[in-house]
Amino acid sequence: MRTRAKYITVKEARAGMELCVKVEVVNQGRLFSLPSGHKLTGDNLFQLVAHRAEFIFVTEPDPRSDEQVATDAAAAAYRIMEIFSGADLTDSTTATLFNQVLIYRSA
Amino acid sequence: MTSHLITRDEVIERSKGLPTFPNILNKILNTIDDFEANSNLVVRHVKQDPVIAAQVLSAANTASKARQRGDISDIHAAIAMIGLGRVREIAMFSSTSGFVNSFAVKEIPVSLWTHSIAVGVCGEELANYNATPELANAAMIAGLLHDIGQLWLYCYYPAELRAAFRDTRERHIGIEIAEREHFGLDHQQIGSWLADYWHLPADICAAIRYHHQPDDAMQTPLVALVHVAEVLSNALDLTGRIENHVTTVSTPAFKLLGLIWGSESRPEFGPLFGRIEARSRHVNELMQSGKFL
Repeated sequence: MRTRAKYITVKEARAGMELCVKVEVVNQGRLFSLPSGHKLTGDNLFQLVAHRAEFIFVTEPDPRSDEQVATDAAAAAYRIMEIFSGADLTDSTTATLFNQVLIYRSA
Repeated sequence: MTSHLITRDEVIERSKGLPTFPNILNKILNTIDDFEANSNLVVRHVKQDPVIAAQVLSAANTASKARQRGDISDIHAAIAMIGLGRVREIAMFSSTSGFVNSFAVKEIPVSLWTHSIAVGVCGEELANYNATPELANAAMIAGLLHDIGQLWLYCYYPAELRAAFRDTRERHIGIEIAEREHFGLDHQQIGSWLADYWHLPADICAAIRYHHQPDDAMQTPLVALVHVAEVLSNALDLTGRIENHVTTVSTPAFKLLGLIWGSESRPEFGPLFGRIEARSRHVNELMQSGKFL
């Protein structure tokens, strides 16, 4: 199955998710860390909450079909075009931002 | 098209019927980052706000009980027990929730608050990304307050403001332009009058005043930070509000923050977007679990 990497809140994290990058959280002078590639356990989730971690970067299975991925990308592109409908896309900074958001949403 | 010309006198006079943003938050955040040097000052500021002091003590006693230790009744010991990160969180959420709650009787859309929180978080992330963490606290507060002028308009001219928002959607123009057509001035001007009247720091006042036209105030980095934070917040559709539109984008502001998109020297825009999105959701969830949104 295809996977996708995304930033999620600790509340959204589930046991079994794999970390894309290491986590290091310091709370009250105590360091809690987990290495890249580590699969989260229930105890890890508890520790992340206890150390007041806010977000993590994980890889998760992407069960969507190719058609669904294409549909989602089209919907995201439509919304981005709506958001930028009043922007001057001949301006290079605006155009680059538009493209970067488009790429980010298609990932 | 101008329906009513709003003056500074009217804004200040009517603001007396509104809550004042608690400046104590700014004082706590400014001293908290250097606790070793300012420990007595942090303690004094925390003591000045009974609600924050009570919440700090409550959190410390909960932690102390969990470790089977005795009661804590001293603020200094309480801060040592829970850590400065938790104090910062308590001060931030307590002050903001008190401020938001005091508007509960008014018909302020929740999206105004969630957007303000998102811009605050985005500003904080940009400050850290741009290696200016000393601006992170001010960026959060300026983000929370950048649309304070709209809040005033919602209180006293809600129908006209909604009409201005309709114009932005139908004519693809920025809200600041629609407001100038309806009121003769925009929410930046109203917000800066309020911020000045509340004696907020000069850079926060400037960020409120110029966040849609940062090129007029590039000497104040916080202005560029809040401008870019709002542009990214809208571009990334944070909080999914219908008003999310990108109209004006300041190239000098983006350059000042080192955001040279897509360049090989700064290829990490994806993680930046990801962190902004995740943290915005996290903070908004925290706020909503506090049941004041």
